Amino acid sequence: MANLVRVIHRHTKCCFECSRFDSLLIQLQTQNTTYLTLVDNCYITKENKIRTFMKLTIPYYLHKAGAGFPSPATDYIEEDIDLNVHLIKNVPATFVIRVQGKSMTDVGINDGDILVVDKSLAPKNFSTVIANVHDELVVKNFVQERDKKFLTSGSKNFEDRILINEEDDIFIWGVVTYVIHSVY
Amino acid sequence: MSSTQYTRKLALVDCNSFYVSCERLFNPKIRKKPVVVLSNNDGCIISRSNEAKALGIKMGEPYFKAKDIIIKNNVHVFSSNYSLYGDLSRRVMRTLKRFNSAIEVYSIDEAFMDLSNFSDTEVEEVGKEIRNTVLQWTGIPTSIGIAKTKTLSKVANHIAKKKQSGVTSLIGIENIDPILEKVEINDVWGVGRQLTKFYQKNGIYNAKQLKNKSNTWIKKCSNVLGSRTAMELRGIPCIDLETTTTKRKSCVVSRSFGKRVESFQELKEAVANYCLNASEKIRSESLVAKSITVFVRTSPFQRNFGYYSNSKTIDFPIATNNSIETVKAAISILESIYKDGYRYQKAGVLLTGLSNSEGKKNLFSSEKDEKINSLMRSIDNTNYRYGRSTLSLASAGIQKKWNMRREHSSKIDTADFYCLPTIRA
Repeated sequence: MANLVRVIHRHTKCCFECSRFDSLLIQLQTQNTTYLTLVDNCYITKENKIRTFMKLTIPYYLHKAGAGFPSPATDYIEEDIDLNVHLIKNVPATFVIRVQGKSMTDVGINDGDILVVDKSLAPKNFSTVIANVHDELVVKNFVQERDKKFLTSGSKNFEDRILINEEDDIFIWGVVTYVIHSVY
Repeated sequence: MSSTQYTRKLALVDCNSFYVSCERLFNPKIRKKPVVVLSNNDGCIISRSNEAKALGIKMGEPYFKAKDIIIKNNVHVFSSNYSLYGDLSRRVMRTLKRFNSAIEVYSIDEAFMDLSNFSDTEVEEVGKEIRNTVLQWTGIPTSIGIAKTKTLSKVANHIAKKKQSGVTSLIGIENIDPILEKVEINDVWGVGRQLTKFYQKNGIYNAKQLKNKSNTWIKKCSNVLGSRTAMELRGIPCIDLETTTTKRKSCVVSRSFGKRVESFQELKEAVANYCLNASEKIRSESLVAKSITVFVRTSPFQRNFGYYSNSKTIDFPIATNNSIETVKAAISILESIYKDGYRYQKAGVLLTGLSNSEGKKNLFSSEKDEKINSLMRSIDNTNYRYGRSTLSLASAGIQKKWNMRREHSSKIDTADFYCLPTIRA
């Protein structure tokens, strides 16, 4: 519901008693936007509402009701982009971890990169994961083949695949959701 | 008591050997090994893994006394890393809040939850669900005890600690006397050392005996709190969930020094630093302090060097949380209580008379205050972004010779970009 703030310009009043105008440039206020509207053939009631017979609206997004062309982006620019919001879906379960080593360069994870790791997710096939392998945390790829699950280092070498079995010293610690890599 | 209150179900979620579990999170090598965590300055043992408990290492035992057992059994030792524990604690609590139940954060590793919305039969399953979620999301193992009252949920938690599933519900158990009989009186929540002595003198050795004592006897012999504990053991809730955190009335920062401090300069730096920490803390809670106390003391165990202990309080002309003013005040106090020739072991700063800072203006407020406030804000923001003590006052020193001993710190902080855990690829 828009509220009338003020009438900026009125044009051709036709009859004084009914406050009817041919056209009216007015400033309206909704909950979070101020905009200008051109209304044709209308009148203003005693409750400060606008009755129209024919309507033509041209919304302008207002910066400040004043001189100059108002910025059309006012309604959209409110805050800076917050990467936390976009890269971290589950805050208490997400850890930021630094990579050390080069075994995963083939899949785009380099020495010194930053990983965003969500512990609440279950890995999909070919997910990059943090895994506990013989009581050491390492970055690996998770691969599922029929009913068998493996950890690989991203290289094509099949011999370094690690089978995830029931033993409790090989398990998935968390799933990598983003890799942040500096290129500058 | 209205009858509806009887359907109340409270869960106590308690993290198992919390500090040890935190250290284990990024260091699986110590997963099944005996581990202990030491207090500030590597003084006492404040957290033990089950393996360390089995070796007979006691809670609160001084490190040097347990050193023989520790070396002989290859016990892994860690200095406390409170920024890591604090972050993981926050994660655990936030995970618990996802269950849409009222929650009271009771300490760094414990929280009460109101599970009254769930039926008697499903509540244990809900407990397991909570436990699994916390373990999966944060990697911290917990134990959960569910019962009608806080005191009973503490009892249930004791039992849960020894169970594989980690969850115990006393809901729906008609006669809990056999359970309470096994709980020693000093393990009952709210029964301290003095009260334990008193109860034992009067032949009360376990929770069942206290439960069955008459209220009038307990009230006459101890106090209202004692009878409240007994009522709670009977399943009548007397202690409510405190879901809103009351703002603190005072803020203390004090540490023992890593090595004894003699010079005024070093002592001054230490006090200035504690002052900065305390001011930052109250600023983060938008509080202002009315007065400040500084205390210093030498070690009470090294009397041959002479013992000295003193403290002094002064009031601020206007309540403040401005670091510059608190440090100025603290140093002027220190100048008046410092005595040459002593080996100081501990110092501390206490800010008292805290009240809300918002919208506080008075006759003496000026534009300058606004400027100082925005300066403090930028200091806090910078330190938040680039790590503690990036911006500090010159009086706080740079070398920090007096700093705490932390020989065994894991130096990992999941909430600090510059101390992130590293993982091998």
